[in-house]
Amino acid sequence: MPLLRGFRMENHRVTGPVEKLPLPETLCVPLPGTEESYTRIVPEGKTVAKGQVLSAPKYAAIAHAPASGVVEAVEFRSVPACGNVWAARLRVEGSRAVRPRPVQGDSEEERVLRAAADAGIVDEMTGRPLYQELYRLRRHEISLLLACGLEDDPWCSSAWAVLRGESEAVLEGLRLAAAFCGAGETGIAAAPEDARAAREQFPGVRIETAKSRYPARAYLLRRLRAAGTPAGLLGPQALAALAAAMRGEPQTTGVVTVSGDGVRTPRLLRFATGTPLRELLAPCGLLEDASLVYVGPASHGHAVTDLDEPIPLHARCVTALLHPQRQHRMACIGCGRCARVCPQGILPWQIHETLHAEKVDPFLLLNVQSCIGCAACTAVCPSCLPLSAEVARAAAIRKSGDFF
Amino acid sequence: MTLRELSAPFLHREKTAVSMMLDALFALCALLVLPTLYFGPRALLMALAAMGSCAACDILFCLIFRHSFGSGDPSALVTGLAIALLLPVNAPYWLPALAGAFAILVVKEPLGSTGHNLFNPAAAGVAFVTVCRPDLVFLYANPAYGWLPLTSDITAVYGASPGSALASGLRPSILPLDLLWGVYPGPMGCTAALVLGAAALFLLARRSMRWETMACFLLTAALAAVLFPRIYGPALTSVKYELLTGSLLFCAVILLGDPVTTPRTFTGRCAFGVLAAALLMGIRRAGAYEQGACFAVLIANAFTPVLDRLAVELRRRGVRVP
Repeated sequence: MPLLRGFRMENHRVTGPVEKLPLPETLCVPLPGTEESYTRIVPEGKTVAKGQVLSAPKYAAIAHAPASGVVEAVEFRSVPACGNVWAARLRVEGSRAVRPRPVQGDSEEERVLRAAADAGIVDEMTGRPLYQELYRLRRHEISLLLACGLEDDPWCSSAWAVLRGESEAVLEGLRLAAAFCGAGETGIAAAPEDARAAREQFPGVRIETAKSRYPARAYLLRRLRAAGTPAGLLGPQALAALAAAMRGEPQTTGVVTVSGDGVRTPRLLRFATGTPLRELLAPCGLLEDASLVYVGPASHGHAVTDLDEPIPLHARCVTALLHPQRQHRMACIGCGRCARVCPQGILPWQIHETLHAEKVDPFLLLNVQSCIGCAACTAVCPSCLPLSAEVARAAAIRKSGDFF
Repeated sequence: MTLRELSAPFLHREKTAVSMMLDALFALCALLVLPTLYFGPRALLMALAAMGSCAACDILFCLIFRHSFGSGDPSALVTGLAIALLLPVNAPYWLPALAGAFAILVVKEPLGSTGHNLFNPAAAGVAFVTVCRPDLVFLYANPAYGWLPLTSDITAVYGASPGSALASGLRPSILPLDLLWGVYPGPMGCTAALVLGAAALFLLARRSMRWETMACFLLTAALAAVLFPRIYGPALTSVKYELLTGSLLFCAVILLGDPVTTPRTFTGRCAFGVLAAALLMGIRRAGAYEQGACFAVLIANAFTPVLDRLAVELRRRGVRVP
């Protein structure tokens, strides 16, 4: 068994307070999951108030207007980390706002679920609506719920910044979410370098540390499960938003780390959803020779070529790099690193080999359904093979049952 | 400003395939230092002949079959240098060139080039010239006689290698320090045990090689040397000469360190090491040649997919194997 599991990730932390980014003139609010026209309830050409509901999708989070203004158009466009979705272009004017009303309900469980769903909260760690995550954790019968302060990007520090800056709201949200999931205990997951600060800031709260090798979260969850405490992780932004949602405030802002060696001053910014990337990068001083800008964590973020694209709620970091490593794809050289790094015990090289055989034998696609999509195998592959995509394809083949 | 369209992950890779090959090339270059000191620039020319032949054949094959080349893949150079180090320094220059051409044109490229080859090209090249001209391959110059001339006519500097002594049941008499520093007749890069150990440590520290194959290989070989000694005397003497002389150590570090032709699973690699060592000791005892390491590696290479398949099959049946 290897002594050091996982992918060593360098760590460039941004310290400092979260600054509030002023509202830009135009916002382009993404409305994910609104392929059916009747789910886009945004009034085109009319004025909306701050906090007004813009969409009511079936399976995605509801979108709210982050500011009052005029909806100029509803257009189908590409949004990083969301794919091609409908988005409402909003010209910011006026200061009308919907008055927040505290959530009604008979039991606390019902109130938490309503708050999470009606406020359109997205769990920034998975990019899925918070109410779905809550259901999932409840189904898994977890006994420990952790606010996740572990980063999966060398340049990102949003999670720890939110934990530090909004500790009361996060703890309140954590209590509410744990009550819904049936978790008896709550705690905070922190990187080893933050553990001491976490113990000082959260006295009496259980602090779980994980080794800082990627995918740290998967290793932590596995260790806790082996120790007899099945645990779940939720993003601190989502938890803070849950506490605010109980008072009736929708989630329309997020915290993002703008960093990388392609910006002059890395910053932590609180942005309104739909802010163009240009507005985020301008106060940080994007260098002229930056050649890569990506939104989201490095393991599965999205490269952006057009800086007018809007930023979605769950983007935790925007990173600009001067010299991204060149990816030169070669044949598999059989080093076995992918299998060693995988937290789920999949053999990605074997999946690669099986998928590239003349006839795919589905019975050799072992264990592929358990893939958690951490993309650690792709990150370590010395031949730059897209292994995580291949494992996902193998899982799709297994699931389809369309073998013969 | 032009932003590039790349796909995730945007993490900096610790290792790329090319950097792993460059590590191997560096380790092989370190093995070339002592022969150059003992035998003079002829050792460098031998290495150049093998590497040049390999690179030329690689480019020729790519031109004929219209593959792309020049993408910074130094595997042909690694093959060439390994071939030169497995041959005696006093051999004619065409011998490593022929071995390199065979390795690239017959073994490496037709089986699908880097990443797909079943057999280790360097081992195959040396095995080919061993079969063709055993008289040249097993004729070793003695480093005690000083630098060799650069021309091909070398006379009266040969010495009996410990391999031939062991094969005839005699105990070679080499001072321990000479054994470690490689001051005795033998293949060019295979004699200096200390440098080979350092190269192994370098490759392990750079994570370009896995330890399982080498450990299992050396342990099995040592066990075989204890149980079936070829010479009379204490068991440790047998182990010393069997492990340190001949191309066994070179095979353990360089040929078995190649990830492409060795199994990809932990279990497979351990079994591969045991199999290769058993074959090697068997060939040494029963074979006609004094060195059979390349043949042992080639035969074991043929079992690589089978061993991997066995490990996967065990996992499929629910046996927890690493």
